[in-house]
Amino acid sequence: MARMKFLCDSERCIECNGCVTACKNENETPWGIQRRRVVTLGDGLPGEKSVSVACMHCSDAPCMAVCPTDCFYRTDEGVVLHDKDQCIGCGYCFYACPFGAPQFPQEGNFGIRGKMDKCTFCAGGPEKDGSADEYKKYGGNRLAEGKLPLCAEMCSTKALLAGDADVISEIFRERALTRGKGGELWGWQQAYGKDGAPAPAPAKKEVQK
Amino acid sequence: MRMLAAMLISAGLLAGCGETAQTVGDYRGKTDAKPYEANYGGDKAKWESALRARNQTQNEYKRVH
Repeated sequence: MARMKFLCDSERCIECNGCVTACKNENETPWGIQRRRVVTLGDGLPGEKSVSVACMHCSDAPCMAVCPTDCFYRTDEGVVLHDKDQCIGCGYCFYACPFGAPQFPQEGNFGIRGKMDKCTFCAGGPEKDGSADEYKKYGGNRLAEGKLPLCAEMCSTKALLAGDADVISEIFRERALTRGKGGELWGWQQAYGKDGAPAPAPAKKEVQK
Repeated sequence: MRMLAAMLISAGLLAGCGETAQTVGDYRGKTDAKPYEANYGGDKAKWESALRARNQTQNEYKRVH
């Protein structure tokens, strides 16, 4: 198996927020914690595009680089996870992340920032797989059950794809060739591009008639 | 005296070369088990084929035809 990745096809995303709901339900995240969200560009204008955004499990994850307690690790499948027992809730990862993935629950009487929470690719965390502890801290561990992240599996238009990079790339390639447009991938190069590779040039703005 | 000064200056100039590399630190948390250990009895190939099959459910070209 190559490596796990997310891919969002903005030509297909209809901003239904099914992925957001599925994520919250599967992981029972607390109030105010959105591991996944849908961002719409040019909302209300002709040609608007929506993208489902969460932790992209970057190849060269900036959160890992800035963490002062080194609480992040990468699994053999390329999933970036963290140990909440090690996290001090400093928020450095939030500033480093280009996708705004790290979330911080408000805890205590004075709204003190709690330990960081983010998408786990439905792979739990460093607790016993399938244990109550793991579920409480990190949510479900579907990967250990041979399943893929629920956000992608629940996606009604299959805009959001998750899984082995080679497989989902091939699915997307076939789609883009069939429809003859929309071959651009938002955030793909930012998350998985080669070191120092420039971000892809923005698409030419379509002239509205 | 001049020799000593030259040595001190060169030592000072070379001090910059002793900088340690700034790399990502080693993970300091708990170790995580492999995802195929709990439910697949450590059979990685079986786990991978289950995921591959699951992956194809996202491909409606295959689901429909």
